[in-house]
Amino acid sequence: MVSLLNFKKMEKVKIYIVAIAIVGLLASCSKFLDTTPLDKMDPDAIFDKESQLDAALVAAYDPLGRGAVYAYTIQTRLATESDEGFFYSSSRTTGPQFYDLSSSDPEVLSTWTTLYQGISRANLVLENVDRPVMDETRRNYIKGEALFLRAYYYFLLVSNWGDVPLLLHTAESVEGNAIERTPSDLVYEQITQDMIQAEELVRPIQGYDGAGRVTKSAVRGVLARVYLYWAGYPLMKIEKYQDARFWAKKVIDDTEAGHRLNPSYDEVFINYAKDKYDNKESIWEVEFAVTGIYEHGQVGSWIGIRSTNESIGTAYGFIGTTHTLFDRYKVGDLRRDRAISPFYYDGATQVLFAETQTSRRFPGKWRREEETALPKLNQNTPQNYPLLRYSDVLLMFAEADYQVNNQTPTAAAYTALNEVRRRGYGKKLNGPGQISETLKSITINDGGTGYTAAPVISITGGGGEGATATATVEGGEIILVTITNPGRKFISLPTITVTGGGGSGAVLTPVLSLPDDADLKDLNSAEFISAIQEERSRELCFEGFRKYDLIRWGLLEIKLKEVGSWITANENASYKYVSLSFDNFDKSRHTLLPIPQNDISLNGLLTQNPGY
Amino acid sequence: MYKFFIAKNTGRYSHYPIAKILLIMKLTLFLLTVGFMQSYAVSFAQQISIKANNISLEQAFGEIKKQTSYDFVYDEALIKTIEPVNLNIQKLGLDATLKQILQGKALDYSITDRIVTIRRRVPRTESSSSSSIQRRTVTGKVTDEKGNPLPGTLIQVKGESTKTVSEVGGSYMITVSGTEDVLVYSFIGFQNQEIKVGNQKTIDVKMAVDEKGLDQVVVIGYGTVAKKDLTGSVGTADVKEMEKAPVANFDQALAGRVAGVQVSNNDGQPGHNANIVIRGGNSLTQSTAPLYVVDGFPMEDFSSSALSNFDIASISVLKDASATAIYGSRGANGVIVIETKKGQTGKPTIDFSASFGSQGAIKKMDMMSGYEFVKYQNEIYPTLAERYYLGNVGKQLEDYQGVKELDLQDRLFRNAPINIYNIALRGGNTSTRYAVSGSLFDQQGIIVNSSNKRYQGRLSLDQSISDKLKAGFVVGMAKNTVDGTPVNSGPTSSATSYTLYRTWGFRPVTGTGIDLGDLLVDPESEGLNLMINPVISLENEVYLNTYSDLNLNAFLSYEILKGLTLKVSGGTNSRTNQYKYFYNSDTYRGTPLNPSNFRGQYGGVVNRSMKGWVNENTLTYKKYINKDHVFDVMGGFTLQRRDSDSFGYEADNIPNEEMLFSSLGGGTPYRNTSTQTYHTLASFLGRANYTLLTKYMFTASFRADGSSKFVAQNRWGYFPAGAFAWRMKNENFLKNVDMISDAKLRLGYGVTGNNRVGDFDRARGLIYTDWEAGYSFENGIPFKGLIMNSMGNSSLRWESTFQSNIGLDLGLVDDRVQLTLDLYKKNTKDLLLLANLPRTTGFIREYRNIGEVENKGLEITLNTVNVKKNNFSWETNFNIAFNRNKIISLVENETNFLSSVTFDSNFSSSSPYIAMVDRPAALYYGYIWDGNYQYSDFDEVSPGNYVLKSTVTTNGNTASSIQPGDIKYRDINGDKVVDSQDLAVIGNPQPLHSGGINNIFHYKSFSLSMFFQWSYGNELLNANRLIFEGNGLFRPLLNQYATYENRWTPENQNNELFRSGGHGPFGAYSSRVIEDGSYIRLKTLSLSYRLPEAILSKVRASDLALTFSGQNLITWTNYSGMDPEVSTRHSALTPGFDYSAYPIARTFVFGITAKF
Repeated sequence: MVSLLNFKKMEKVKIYIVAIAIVGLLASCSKFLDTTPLDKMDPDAIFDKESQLDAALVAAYDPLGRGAVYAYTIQTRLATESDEGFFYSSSRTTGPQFYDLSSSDPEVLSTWTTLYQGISRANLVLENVDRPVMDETRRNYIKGEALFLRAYYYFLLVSNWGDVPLLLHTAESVEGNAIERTPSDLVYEQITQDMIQAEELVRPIQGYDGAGRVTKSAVRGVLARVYLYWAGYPLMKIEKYQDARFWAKKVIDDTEAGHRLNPSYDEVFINYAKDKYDNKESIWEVEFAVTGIYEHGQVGSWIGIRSTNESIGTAYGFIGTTHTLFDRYKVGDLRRDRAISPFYYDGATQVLFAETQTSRRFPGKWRREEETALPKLNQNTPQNYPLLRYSDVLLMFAEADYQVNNQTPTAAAYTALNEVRRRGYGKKLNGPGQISETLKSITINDGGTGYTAAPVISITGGGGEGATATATVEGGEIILVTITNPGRKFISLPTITVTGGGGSGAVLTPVLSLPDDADLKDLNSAEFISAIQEERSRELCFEGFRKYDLIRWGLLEIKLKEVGSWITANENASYKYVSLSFDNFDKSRHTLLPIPQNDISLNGLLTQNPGY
Repeated sequence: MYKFFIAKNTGRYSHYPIAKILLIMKLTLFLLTVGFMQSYAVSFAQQISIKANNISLEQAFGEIKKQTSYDFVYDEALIKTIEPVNLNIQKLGLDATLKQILQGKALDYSITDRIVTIRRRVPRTESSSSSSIQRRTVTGKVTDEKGNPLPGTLIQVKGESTKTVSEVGGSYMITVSGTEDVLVYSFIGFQNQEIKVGNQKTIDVKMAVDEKGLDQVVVIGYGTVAKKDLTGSVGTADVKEMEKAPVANFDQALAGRVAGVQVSNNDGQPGHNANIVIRGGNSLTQSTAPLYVVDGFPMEDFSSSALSNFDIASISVLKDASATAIYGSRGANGVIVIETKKGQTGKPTIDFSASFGSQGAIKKMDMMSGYEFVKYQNEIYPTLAERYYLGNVGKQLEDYQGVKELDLQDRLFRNAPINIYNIALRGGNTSTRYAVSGSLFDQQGIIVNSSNKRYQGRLSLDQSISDKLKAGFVVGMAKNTVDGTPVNSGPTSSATSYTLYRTWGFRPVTGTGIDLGDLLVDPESEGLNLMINPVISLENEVYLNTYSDLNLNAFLSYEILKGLTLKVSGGTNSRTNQYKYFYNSDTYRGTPLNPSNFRGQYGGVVNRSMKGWVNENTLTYKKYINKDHVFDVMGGFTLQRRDSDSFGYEADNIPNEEMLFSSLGGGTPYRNTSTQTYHTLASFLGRANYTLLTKYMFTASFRADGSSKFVAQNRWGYFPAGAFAWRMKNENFLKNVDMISDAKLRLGYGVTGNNRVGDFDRARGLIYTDWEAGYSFENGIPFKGLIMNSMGNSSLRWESTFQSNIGLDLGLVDDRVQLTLDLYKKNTKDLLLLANLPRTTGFIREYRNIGEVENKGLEITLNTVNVKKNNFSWETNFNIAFNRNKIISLVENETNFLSSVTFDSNFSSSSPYIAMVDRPAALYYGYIWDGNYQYSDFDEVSPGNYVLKSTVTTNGNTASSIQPGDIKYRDINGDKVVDSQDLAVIGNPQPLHSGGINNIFHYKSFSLSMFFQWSYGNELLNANRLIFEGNGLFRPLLNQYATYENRWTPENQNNELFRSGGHGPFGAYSSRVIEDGSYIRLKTLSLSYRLPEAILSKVRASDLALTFSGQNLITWTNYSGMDPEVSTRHSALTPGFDYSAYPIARTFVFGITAKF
């Protein structure tokens, strides 16, 4: 029999069980709620391995290759829309490439964002670089590269936006991120200070086979550029020309590194297409991957020769070239037909542009048909993009040297300038110390008789190659010979034979270029700086420098308006739209990009650039 | 007279002093473990021993109860009249004991369900030989549909005064006078039943719930409540009506059924879930979907496809804070509580239904005819037109009059079959109830190669182990296969990649007369303008999602003391999804001919899984002190955990595409993904209801949630709510107003939360990634970068919604008219916002508690029984909701931000939506359309050469390129140039009101219901018109809508559509394509015919009906697109965008339902 008392005991037991259970529950509750992320690593718990530092450094390089930076934005939106090219598509009429943009422009925001991401990632490396136990030399490489990259991103920021917020640590919290713009001068101070420190830490270029890593040569060359920008408009710190000259000279004088120009201007760019390195000339490049599906660029597609053919490699060809640039090349300058494509594609066939079409060609430096990596992906290319070439260093030296010497061209400045020009004129194609000439002209000694049609002119011998010419006949006689290709590598006069055309008796004599006709000499001060300015365009067009060069020389507006008037006067009606960017340009605001509205809204301390 | 004691008895025989009960209550309010169950140790021994002198019957019964745990029910007054007894009982059974005790007394007893009923002995009626009336007794048992006894049911002989009331076990006995007598069973909250006695001696009755009545039981969080006792705002959906809609999931039938529940389909793609928003969206960047509680299992990411419509027993929508606060941190978006059908006591029943039908596109767009197309081509691309259609092929424009045209819509759209089968077996006895059901839903899409097929099975078992201990479980399984490339989006951001772009745009004629219909590629198209046949492409595409759901919920409940019940439940829920896609060389995306395809022939497989478990322990105590004081208290503790992961492999440039998925390994790896995450939640909850004088009802609830998503200091959130209801009908001033059958005023206020952020957004963390941070050195395979992918915000905490609600429930004319009004205002503070950051931080967005959003509105529900006759009845259910949404504040200084949609890269720099402080979360944003430029805007400098007057504003193009007939936009700042300074708010996607109205008619064996649903005052952005009404991307060979025939020409100078090529700057959104999206549609029509009894009995069916139903039958709208129920880029910030939407189908089905 169960008594009343027993029941009570049972209830007590129940109560105890409950009480114990509750205490146990509360204790285990907080443990139950303490979860550990499975999808990310605690920053305080890692960075004890060199490999983690390496990977963080990879991430700091990554912004260089992003669409918003060198995959296409700088080439097709921010930089080439100076006097060299324009956005060659009627499907867009607004954006930074048309100098028609608001502070909400998504591309401007994207570039701004990507650069600051790079800075944040470099900061992450710098904050943790001392943590792993590792070889000190390798640690120095990592630290130096991170310092340099951070400085380089600030350099891109300051040259596009002027005063910008300067952050030297990773952001700690979602709160309190309002930060003022730092005056450009101080940004330049930080950039140069970091780069100079990096120069001591990073590896020398000798012994390194690639061009993607930051090396001492890369740092020095870029330092020269940074000082040139600082010395020019708008900051006009002319004392910095001295530093520019110093660093450029350091590259030139570095016999261990042994920098030299590639004898062939064409080959510099063919190398990019074929994924070959020549870091004697091409000192620092943005690396785009050859294999896999990501980390490709659009070099050759967005900026390239328009093509819908897969075997050539499809290319959007968003940039058209200007008449102004075309005209900038003189006879005998072999660089023209590399920088500006002499042909377009009809399917897989190359069709030469009419000689009269001097505008609306395509930039020809990056040609997809020269790519060797297969399969050729639609639009995505493996071609690297140069950030520092030796010819740039030579020209920077010449310019800085001229400025340092009270705007007087010195012999050293001429040497550097003419070194670049001689390569451009094909004088180095047969190797050092060898003669390499082109066909300069063809003299008509005798026009012959009986020609009813233009005869075929063949140019052979003389050690050269590739020279072609056409004849014009009038009254049975050859009255004009036009050189269609000056050829290259001639060491002596070639033989000219005239066949066909129904006539006979014509005698033609070739004239070769002279060893020094590529050289400039005896220029006055104004002519010399003007020559440097033109030379930089001829040598470095479409490599993302022209707009910034023109800004620092105070020439951007003048040059753009020149192109605009030419288009308005000479282009046929259906292509008048290409003048949009030149017409839109307003000096009062367009030398700087707008500070993105996103940041203005969220950072109460930011101010906007004038005119936006 | 017999007195009904059920409530009173609950306390009476608990033989424990009140103080002790209170102590137990206090302790148990804290709660609990499974361990409790072990204390269940009640003796079943029925051996009774009592030795006592001069004890009252009550004492005797008390002792028996102690020894047997049997309850006693009796009339106190009656028992008190009986003299005390002397007892000496030694180990007797219950029957023998009772017999001994009651011997010689005017009392009888009966035992049912462990309850002993004592009553006055009915003297046997002497049969009167002089009367022809044969008086005899009928016995039986009254239960509800689930087999629960219904004590207190009034049983009357129709037309006579004889009546009785069923006992605690539901059993009854009544005397009838003949076979012709009819018994009427009535019980509040249940439908009356009349049964002819005939020769039956035993009549068991199952009472059906009167779902319209005030006593309808409403399932709320952690409990149920009679509708009349509700203090909060809870809407219930008429699931019987919803079953009539031939749709895949209940959400598609829910639109317009419950006031304040806005259900919208993004489009008509089979297998896609609808969006449900309750009382306006609180969140801007986070999900606004409600919390789902299915059979007690709370789920934030519930997919409606896991459940068959036919397995749903009830859907309650908890709307105000006093109803939702019991779900605390997850209640702010409202809660949808779903109970599934369980077994019922009684004879097993088989429910079967089968429907077969067909679906078709409601409309197709009128495209230009061949003649119109060539005429247009000749205007816009004269050179191409000459080459492809005219001179070059030796034809004149006139030759295209009446030529055979190709309209790919005819090949893309199809009439597609739909089949739905359901079968269920349900039954049980008083201790065991079971239900087994299965369903098959098989739908082909109205666009080729799209379909949805789903199998479901469900099993539930409820077992009473003793009268105190009950257990049960439900297990549900579903396999859902959704096949077909999404028509409204694709992996690329080019407008041309969308199926309907290529369908509408495909040329209707060619100059050479070649038939394009069977070719993959239009041979005269090339490059970026390449036209790939969408029908052939779709037929070759594989885009397959397979979902497998397995849900198991089980519970044990134990009645510790009278009225005090412990319920321990647990469940697991798992969903796995396999996503597979493959694009071979005959598809748009996979063909090497497509110049934007850099992946070659490609495919991939991604497996995702989500698993969760929950344990809930609640203790409920109900106390009926007397009719003036009734209270119940519920307290509980729950734990929950959710894990999710995904693993995928995708490959490009697959060489042997014919091997499909087994060929992936041969391709180039594209992306290998693996993710893994989890979160946990622990909660304490409690609720108390107190009813005073049957007039004043108080509810207070409280929940404390601890979530692993927040750091320890911010982990716990507290969510209190209170409500008061005043049942005015019970006041003297209304008691005698017959017209008003019920009147209740409700007031509620409370706080609810939202925790929908990522599991670890609180923490800084580093990840390795290739896509975002890889870099290749020396032309090698790219290295993965190590980045801080999020800054982490350790200060994250709950988002809190403060909601007040005033409601009025009114019943008129015997509740034939029921009106519910609710006014609410909710303010969501500390918004969990994926907030923009200054990009200088190196980060784009992080979760922050920033900003505030307000929603306020009015909801009206009106249910009327218009006609109720024997053969005919007509009911109307109407609801309407008005909601106004407003942003109170945003991040720091932000006064507005723009939101863009991925649609076409040419539009990527335009944002068609703006969110502004003091305005709704989303408004359309763009240029104000001002018609076209006319000749009067130009100077004619030479004949036919028009130059825009310098006083006239440009449209964003250079002035020299603007010609008469070009599109014109308004220059707001007056600088004569239309640019980003001239962007303005151009429309509002939010409706002014939305709702539904259902009319149900019954006539003899026929039933008809007609359900209309509407949305009024919302605007849509018809992006299709940007492309197909004026060729906004300027693509050659692209056909246009027939409406574009009415474009500006010198002969047709209008302000409607701009001239050929006069589209203005690319990528501009303008008010031209903002349209009124209001509509009302006959959403569901259902006609059924119940076969006559004669046929039923032949096939031994208890019910057999033939039905015809239609879905989306008629739509009244001014919207020019395919369908006004559309939102192809749906989010709180980007609603109402229409581009290449999968059209919503019109469906007809015939069906049969049977019950055996």
